[in-house]
Amino acid sequence: MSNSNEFKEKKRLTNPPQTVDIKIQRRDKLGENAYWETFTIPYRRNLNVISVLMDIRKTPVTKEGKQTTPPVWDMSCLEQVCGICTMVINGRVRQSCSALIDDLLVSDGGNTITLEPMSKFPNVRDLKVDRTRMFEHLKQVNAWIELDGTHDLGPGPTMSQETAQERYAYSRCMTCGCCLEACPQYHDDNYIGPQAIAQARYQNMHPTGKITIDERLEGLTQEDGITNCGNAQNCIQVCPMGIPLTRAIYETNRDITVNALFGWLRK
Amino acid sequence: MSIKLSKTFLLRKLHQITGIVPLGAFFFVHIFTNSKAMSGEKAFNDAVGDIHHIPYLLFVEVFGIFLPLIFHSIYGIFISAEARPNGFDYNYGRNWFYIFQRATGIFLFFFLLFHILNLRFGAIPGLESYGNPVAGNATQAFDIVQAEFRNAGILLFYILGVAATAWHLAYGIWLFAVDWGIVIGEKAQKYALYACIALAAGLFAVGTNAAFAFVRPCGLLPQAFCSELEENKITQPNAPRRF
Amino acid sequence: MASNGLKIAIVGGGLAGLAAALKVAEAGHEVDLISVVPVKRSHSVCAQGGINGAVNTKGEGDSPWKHFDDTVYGGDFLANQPPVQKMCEMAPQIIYLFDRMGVPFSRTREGLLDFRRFGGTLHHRTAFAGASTGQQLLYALDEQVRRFETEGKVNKYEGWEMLSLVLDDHQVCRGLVAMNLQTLELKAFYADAVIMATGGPGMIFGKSTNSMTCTGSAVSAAYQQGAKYANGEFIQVHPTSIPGEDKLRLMSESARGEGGRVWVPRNPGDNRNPKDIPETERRYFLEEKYPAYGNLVPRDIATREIFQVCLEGSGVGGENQVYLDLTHIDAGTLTRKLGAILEIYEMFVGDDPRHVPMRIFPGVHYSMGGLWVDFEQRTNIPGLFAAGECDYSIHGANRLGANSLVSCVYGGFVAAPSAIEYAKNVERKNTETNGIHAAELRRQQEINSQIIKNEGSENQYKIHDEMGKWMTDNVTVVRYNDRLKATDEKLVELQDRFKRISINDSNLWATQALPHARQLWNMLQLARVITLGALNRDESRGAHYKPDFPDRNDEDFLKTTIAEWSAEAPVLSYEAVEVGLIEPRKRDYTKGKAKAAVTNDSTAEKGGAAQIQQPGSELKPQGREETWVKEGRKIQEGESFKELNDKERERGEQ
Repeated sequence: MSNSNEFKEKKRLTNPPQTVDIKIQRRDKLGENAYWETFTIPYRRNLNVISVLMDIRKTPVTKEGKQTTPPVWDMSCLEQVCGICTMVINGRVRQSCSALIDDLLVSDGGNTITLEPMSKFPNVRDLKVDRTRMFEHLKQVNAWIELDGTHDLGPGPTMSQETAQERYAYSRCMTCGCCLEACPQYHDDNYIGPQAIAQARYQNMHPTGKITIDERLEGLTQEDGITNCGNAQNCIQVCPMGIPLTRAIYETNRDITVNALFGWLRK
Repeated sequence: MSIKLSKTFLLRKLHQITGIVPLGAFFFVHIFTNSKAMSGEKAFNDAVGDIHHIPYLLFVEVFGIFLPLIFHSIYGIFISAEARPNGFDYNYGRNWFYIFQRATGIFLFFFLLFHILNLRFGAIPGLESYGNPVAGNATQAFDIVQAEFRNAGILLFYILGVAATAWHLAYGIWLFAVDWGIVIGEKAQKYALYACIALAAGLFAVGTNAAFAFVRPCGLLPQAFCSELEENKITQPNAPRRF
Repeated sequence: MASNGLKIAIVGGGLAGLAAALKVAEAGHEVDLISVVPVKRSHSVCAQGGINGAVNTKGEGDSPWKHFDDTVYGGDFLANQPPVQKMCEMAPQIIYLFDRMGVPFSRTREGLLDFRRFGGTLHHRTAFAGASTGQQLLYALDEQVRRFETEGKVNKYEGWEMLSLVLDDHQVCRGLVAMNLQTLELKAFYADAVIMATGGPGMIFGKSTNSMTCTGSAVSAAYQQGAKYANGEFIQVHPTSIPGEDKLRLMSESARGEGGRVWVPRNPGDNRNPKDIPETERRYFLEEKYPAYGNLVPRDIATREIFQVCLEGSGVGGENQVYLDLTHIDAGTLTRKLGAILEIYEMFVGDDPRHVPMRIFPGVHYSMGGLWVDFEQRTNIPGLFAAGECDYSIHGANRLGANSLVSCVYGGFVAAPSAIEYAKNVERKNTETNGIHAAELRRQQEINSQIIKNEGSENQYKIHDEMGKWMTDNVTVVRYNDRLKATDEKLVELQDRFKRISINDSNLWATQALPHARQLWNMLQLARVITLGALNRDESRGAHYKPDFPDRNDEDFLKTTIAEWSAEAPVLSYEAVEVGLIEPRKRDYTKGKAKAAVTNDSTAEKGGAAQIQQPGSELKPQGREETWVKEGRKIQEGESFKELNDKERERGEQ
């Protein structure tokens, strides 16, 4: 994201390798042991991780020449809005559709790219993980507006441009799981995580959503709630949509301090 | 107001608040007292003596220090055990602070255990304070500490302890401010963090200087800062020492 | 459970599917929602421009009738008019409903919904949420459906793919069979009615702007079981997309609007760095051929010309790509006006378009055709309904920008009550227990087993690639009958070769090979419908263009193409289009002005309302640029949401 007008000549792959090694962490099935396989693909311009995987899938033969099973991964929109193709690439969690091979070779050196599934979710097979729990978290925080019905009741409440813009930022969350993967506090589903907190905040900011704020906050004061946040703030660093996740957490902290912790003072 | 609060939620909040009050507050008092050593033996011993005259001292000590400390440290270790540090893959400042907060916490657990057994209870064999702790011996307090601090290893250990405490507390204040929704925006958090770093540096400087004050008059500062020194020395009768 | 309440199965969890699910659950009935991906990851998230609805909040005299007229006119009069009119009348209500659901639509200073102009229209009719409206609408419906999920009204089956319908002896739909994509377990779902909302078939063209899940497989399965498929040949192609190894991504048309120039090296073999190629050796083929309009020719012409140049082998590097060059424009100006869209290019290509010419190519974008439905979204199979991109009903020969989202929601909102009404009245008899579900499940199981044990030399992915290449080359922008014929022969050959594939995955757990094989077969079937539909339609209309038949021919072809499956080839028939409300008139964009509609709306004449609707105008591009530029600047100047900016900057430093 470069805002400057001068041409910052991007670091280019000046001397591309003939071939690129793709080292993939494989797992045949949920619960089985993981192992590694390396595939070699001829270098081309404009490759991204997805297209490399597509190539490998067609004829899955390892670097050593062993016929193997095609790697399995999830993909859908390939425009970084659906969130499904998230994986750990060279040690960092991100979407594989927007991970360009050239950039990876330039930034990390060498000619090997390492692909692993996200480590914080059940690993279904190879690079595919099961993120169902993230959707369950949304249930826990009632991440919706209570509507009386979908019949015609005219427009919704008015809202300032600023509020609309901040809410828009939260609304971009695609449930990819980068925040949870990078969160040092999150493992074994012990913490509801920034994604759900931000979605609660998103609804709490809405004039209608505010009416039922207590129900949402209650979802966040449970055992796996917001206090499990350790403020490492990796979430905001890795969020591909640039969502102000930490802001959501701290605004919600304030709501909880006011409503939950000191709420009894208003009894 | 019918929000149900889980046990974890309440414990975490209690953990956060005990770190500030009473433990953080106590640390301020503590290094204030220590710093009196800059003015010499008498000033320090008097200060220790004053502590002995706090009404309901045992009550204050148990409920104001020991219980909060035990809770804060045990639960802190429990929290630290949950961490899955990943500072090398996600190499960001706040991520390292997160790791550091836990590391200093665990270090402080051992340091404070030593410190309390040593100077409060005189229970570490082989040290000056063995059987003769500072607490309860106001007249010998300075000498006991001085004798220990002449051992460079112990002095270094204490300085590390001061550093860890200063950082753990200062960053803890920042964490408290964000966890309770007091400091929210990114910019506000940044400035608050600068302030806390400055506080940590200040606490470390004052605490370290106080430690050196036991082995060198006025600590690391020029003696001119502690002009009362000689006078104090003179008016102070030789402290009886037990051997 | 099913003995009292009704059970409706909905296939597809995009905007249309969720809209239908919401209506069914709200009416108190039970929904089984089957989706290949978690519903939040449906292709609807990719829609960016906005959602049309004539609310007339800007005092421009806009009205649903004008929206209706634009839609019909833009669709080259091929759409049946009654449902289009109904949709346009419902559109404002739909937008208000989303507003109540908390969609963060952009606002005016007064705090009301903001609307923008779109696709050359004179009216501010498009509500939008930043630069990604589809995502916000989908999520809003997802949230509402989740609420019903917690109440037990909606059962989601995410990661399940529909394989076939369960039809009884009277060809009545009684449910469906779906496969769990993780365990490959098959399950027969009993349903009183089934609503298909599975989206478009872009994957038939190999690479398109569609998501990888947009295979049209489920629709094709229904077609092979007797559902009629209508207007399959109408495929919208966007002129400027970014070719990728994996897919095509849209590049906004505003790049040309801001002065972007399209060119290829005069010498096709010229592999020099584009900046080193002197002006004289560049071929600005649009400017040369259309000196008046230059690079700003209407979308469909741009699409055709770019396509043609590449087909001749004059594309950059001999590949299917041409340069879209902005580098002659000051970088600061570009950042200000096009910042956000240029960043997309940079993200996926790695070049900075302010300094390196972009490489673009037309990309398949949307299917106007789909399952035939009546005005209540009923297909010809009793008990089977369809909504969204997978039905054919709204867009005629060409879809207008920002109309797809509204048509999805409309389709869902109509299909649901229609399905409930049907389900209330249909006799269940013993269909739940008489074994038709088990029988269909066995049949599907056998197909799977057959594919698994097949030992052949063909590679399914290579067949897919070949199909995609043939379809893209011959059945998209410019269509010639001989090539269409050849394509159909090729498809028949591929169908034959398909029978000799062996799946290359010995590990069946969560394998992609078997589902892909099944999708591939279905895509091959649908590809023939598209190809033969195009072959038979000897005219040019909307997105369908034949140089040999350059004019619209209302006499012979103001008709809906209907394809029915047979073992040999799709059987085509034609159905008259209902045009009773707006008289078909010539679509004329060459003069840059269309004649105002003669409507029964009194304001039409006064207000002018002459809208320039160009073929090929569609959802994404227009939307993108305006907001992104606007928002981008706002955020940069820190006018309203400083946090984002600070964070971006901090990130940049690290």
